[in-house]
Amino acid sequence: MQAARALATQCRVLIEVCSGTESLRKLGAVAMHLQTYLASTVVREHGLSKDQIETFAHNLVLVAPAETRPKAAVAA
Amino acid sequence: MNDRTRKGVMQFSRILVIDPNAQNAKMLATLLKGMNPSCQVYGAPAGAHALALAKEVTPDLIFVESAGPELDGMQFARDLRRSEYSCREAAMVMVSGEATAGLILGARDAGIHEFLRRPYTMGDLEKRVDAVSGKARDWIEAIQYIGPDRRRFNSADYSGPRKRRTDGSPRVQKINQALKIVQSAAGRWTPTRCRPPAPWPPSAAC
Repeated sequence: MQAARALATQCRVLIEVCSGTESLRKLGAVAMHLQTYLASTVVREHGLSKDQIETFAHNLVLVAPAETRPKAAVAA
Repeated sequence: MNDRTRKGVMQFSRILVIDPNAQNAKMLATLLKGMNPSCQVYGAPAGAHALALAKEVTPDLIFVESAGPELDGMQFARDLRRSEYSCREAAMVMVSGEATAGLILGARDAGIHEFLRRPYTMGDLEKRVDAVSGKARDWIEAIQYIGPDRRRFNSADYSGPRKRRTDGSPRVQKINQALKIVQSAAGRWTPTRCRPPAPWPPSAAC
């Protein structure tokens, strides 16, 4: 539950930070997709899939500008 | 009251006092009004009411009692910090008659800025207001903790070279921190209770 909350909060943060910046448009879009996924899954009371969450997290890092990526992700 | 405190308390125009004991709340409100006659002080006796009021009035400073019949000060702090209200980053002071190490550390870990032990003097109150109105502490958003930087005496006056990749701009730092938290949250994800979708149309189940 804490992890879900943390994800939702960070999605909101990313959407806010990326809004209005063309170079961060993709990152904002992926964050919005993840936010929608979290919200819709909670509403439908389905389980949240670990694979889906990991894929979204991976996609977020992929579309983020290189200088903002966490170090381990850059090495990979 | 010195100039710094006067200046500090003037920053707070809306103050929320959460205390189930009306007398205590009234006394604190009177002291605060004495420090800044133009501030508006709101009161709430219980946690749920306080959250609703916080959403409505967006206070800049919150005094919360540690415990009461329908109040858990730490839970209130955690709920507010994790909410989406615009006052979620407001300065928060916990007031309690019992100041054990466990309670103080718990308050710190719940996202409380300062701790005020009852009975307190005007000087104690001024010190807490000084502390929360002075140099703003960094804001931390993590999985286990959301709140002000818990290192209260971190002066943040580092003047040496900045060598981190993300030192360039606050926006880059913010994105970097958010991505780290997303990665960490995804890594420690445990599948939630999986309920099968309801049959559709509903009559098919009968």
